[in-house]
Amino acid sequence: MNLFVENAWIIPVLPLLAFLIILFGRSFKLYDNKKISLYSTVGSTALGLLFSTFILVWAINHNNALYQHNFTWIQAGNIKLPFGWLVDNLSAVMLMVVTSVSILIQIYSHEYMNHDDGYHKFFAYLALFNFSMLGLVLSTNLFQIYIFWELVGLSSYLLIGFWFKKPAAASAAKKAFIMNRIGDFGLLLGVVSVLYFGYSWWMSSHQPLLSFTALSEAGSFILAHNSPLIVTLITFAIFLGAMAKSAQFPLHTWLPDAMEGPTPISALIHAATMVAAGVFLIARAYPLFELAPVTMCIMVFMGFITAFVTATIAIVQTDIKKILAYSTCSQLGFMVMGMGAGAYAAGLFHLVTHAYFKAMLFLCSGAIIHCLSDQQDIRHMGGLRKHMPAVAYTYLIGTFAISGILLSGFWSKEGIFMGLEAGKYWIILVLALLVSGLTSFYMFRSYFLVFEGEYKGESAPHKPDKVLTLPLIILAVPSVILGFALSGSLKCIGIGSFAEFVGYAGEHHASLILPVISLLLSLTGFCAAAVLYWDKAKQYVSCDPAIIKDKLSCCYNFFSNKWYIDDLYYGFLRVIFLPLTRIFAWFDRTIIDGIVNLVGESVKLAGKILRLFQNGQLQTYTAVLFGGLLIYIIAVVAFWLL
Amino acid sequence: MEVGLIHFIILSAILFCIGILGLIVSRNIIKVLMSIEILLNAVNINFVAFANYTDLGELKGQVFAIFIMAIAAAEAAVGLALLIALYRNKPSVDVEEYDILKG
Amino acid sequence: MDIIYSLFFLILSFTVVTSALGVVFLKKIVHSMVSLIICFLSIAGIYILLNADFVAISQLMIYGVGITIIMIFAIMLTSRESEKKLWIAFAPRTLFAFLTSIGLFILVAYTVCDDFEKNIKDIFNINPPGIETIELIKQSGTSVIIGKQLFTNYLLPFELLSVLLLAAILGAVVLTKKDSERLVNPTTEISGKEG
Repeated sequence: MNLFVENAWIIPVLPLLAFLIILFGRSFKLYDNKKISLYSTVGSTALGLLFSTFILVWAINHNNALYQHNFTWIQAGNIKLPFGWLVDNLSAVMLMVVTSVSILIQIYSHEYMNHDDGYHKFFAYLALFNFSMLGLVLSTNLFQIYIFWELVGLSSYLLIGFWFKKPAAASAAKKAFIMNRIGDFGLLLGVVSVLYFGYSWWMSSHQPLLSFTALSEAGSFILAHNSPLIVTLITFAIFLGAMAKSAQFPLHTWLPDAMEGPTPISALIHAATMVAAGVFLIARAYPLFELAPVTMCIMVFMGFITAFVTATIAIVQTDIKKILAYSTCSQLGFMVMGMGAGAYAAGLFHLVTHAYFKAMLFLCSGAIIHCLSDQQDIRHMGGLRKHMPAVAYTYLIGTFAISGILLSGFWSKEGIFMGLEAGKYWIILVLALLVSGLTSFYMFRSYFLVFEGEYKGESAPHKPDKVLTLPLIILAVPSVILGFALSGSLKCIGIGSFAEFVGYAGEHHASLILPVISLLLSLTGFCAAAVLYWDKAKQYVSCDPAIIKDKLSCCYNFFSNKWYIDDLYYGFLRVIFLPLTRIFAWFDRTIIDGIVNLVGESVKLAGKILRLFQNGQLQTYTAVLFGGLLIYIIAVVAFWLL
Repeated sequence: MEVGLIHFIILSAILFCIGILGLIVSRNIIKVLMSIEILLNAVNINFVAFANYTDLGELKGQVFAIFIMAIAAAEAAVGLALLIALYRNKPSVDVEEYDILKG
Repeated sequence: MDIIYSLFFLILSFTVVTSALGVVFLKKIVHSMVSLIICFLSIAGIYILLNADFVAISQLMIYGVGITIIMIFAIMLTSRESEKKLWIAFAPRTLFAFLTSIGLFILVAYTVCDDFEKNIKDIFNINPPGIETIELIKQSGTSVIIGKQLFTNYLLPFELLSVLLLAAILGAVVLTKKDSERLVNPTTEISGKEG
């Protein structure tokens, strides 16, 4: 078993090799067969899955499992930046999640992208993303995670803009990358500050620089020698990175636009893995966050605002992928809220369960879009349960999970609510419960509008392929059982709780008030959606959604314009930022280019002056000759006399 | 006042500077050639002065002065032959008109 | 004795300098030619002051006669009636020339003053000449010494000098040959006679 742990570096390297094979194989037109790209990518991920399974087993069997191996990558004087892999409970869990979701999505996208021209490119990018994400999960220190952070952002950009000939996709990719950069700036500041403020500690201890295992001691050192404001600022800077990557308010606007990419990508990156990287970073840097209660408070508020805002926007969306995107934002807000309130384990548990059911939901929507020939508007769908029952039932399972009705989402959200209660964020707790109800409402709205009722579309839907539905069914399994298995309620059977496995178990209240209230609210949401959108329920209570839309039209407009945040950003760019760049562009063109041109012009000028000496007259040349002779003699005499 | 080596050197220097002046300032080619002769004479005076005050045993300076004179004569002859040849092409002795090598 | 020596030196050097200035600054070319002759003659006088009788005579013969004749021929062959007076060029180079020559002179003067003779005598390890040398010079002039040098130490340059003079003569003849085939410039009038 130790063999797998010590060679955990293979897990990211294999997808990198797959990427290189596809890259060079296709650049030099060495092969044309789609199977080679498919098998190299899927094979690398399958081997990674195998390794991850063994690592997980190893981690379960060991108490306090921790294995770290570091190389010195860059050395500059005393500073030795390490690079290596860290295998502990948290990374074992994340490896499992990433590789399992990844391999299922790769199998799915073989069928989804089969008729696309960029098939090989897609798998190459998938392999690159795999490499980046797995490297991020296995990072040992803040610096390495920053490298893979950037790589993940790059893969996301490449994949969102996969169909770059569509202008909307290209600008969505740009938007995602730029917003991520804003966060990366914060992350870099935070990383460098940790090194700077704790420099003497890092130098005197023999830990690898900026490594996660030594963060708590370094953090206490920084707190002891600097004001608490410094620690707050450092942690806020790191949180800024997480904010951009995990799409928190106000840097959340890139995630819905990122739905321009192919659906498998939305499933992989923008549901399961990349957006979870932010939460993962918070988890890794948690020792630092614990020392800054102000930042934790800010995290709770930002998480809540994200959850609330995006949930309200999701209510009025008509594109199925946008609904799911906003729900991802909302759930990420829950995760960040949980971590900010101190419920570290609950946040991570929600991350794991969310990865599985959100991936499944996105893959379902992909199957629907594929079978309806790229139709994404839910107003043109309906009654699809008869045409594709497998998709419908897995979607239903996912909806139950996300709404927090007894399947896995319920257990993880319960942990978050417990954390909020323990941190005494009463108002936030109440409002978060309401948001959970809203979640249930809009998810069931989407289910009823898509799968129930009459088919409102134009062309007839065709049946989905087995390759499309198989990953859905496989993903449904963890969505159902993970909640029951890992929340600690089955301790008697010997499967310990996730919280204990990951650390920071915290107290476990035996009270049932919170779970019951959240269950009730979710059911309320279900009923409201049923009443508005389900024909079968309309027989009992009649309520027309159009009337409600008219009465609350100002709210409706506000929500459907995404709270005007995008407009605010564009206005800022147009009014403030672009004129500023014009000034800088003027500076660059006139002054800096002017200096460069000046050098050229001065040479020309010197040439013009020197040309006057070449007038073809003998005496001018003689004059210059004697002048030079004089200067030479002066030099010699000066040298001789002194 | 006692006339020593220094005075002859200063005389030679004055002549040399006048020669340079004439070489560059004159507009007539023949005056330029005459200034070159003045230059050579200045150098001759220098050599002979040194020979007189330091080397009366072997008089190397005077020997060299004789060589210079011979070479000056040859150079004057060839220079004036060149002038005649130039004059055939362009019947002018104005230095400023000979600027075909301009640029 | 020294006074007469100094007097002659002053007169002769004054003449030399004035006539050299006359060469440069006189307007008519013939006048500057005459000034040049006076210059040569005065320089011969200075040579005599410097115990260089052979050199003085050579100066008179080569410069005072030979060069003068050459220059006069050149002036006669290249002068025209309607030619403008060519005096001094009023161009940037005149200022430059003035500055250069004055600078050079100041430099030499500055270097040469104070204790120059003593330094020279130290550097070159010169001893005052012996009695025999002075007697020899008094009796038969410097020709003996020069002759001895020319035929022993400096024989090679002497022979080469004769070759050079031959080359110069040939060059001068070739350069001034009449261009009867009009190779040089087909349309220019040639001054003097055709032939």
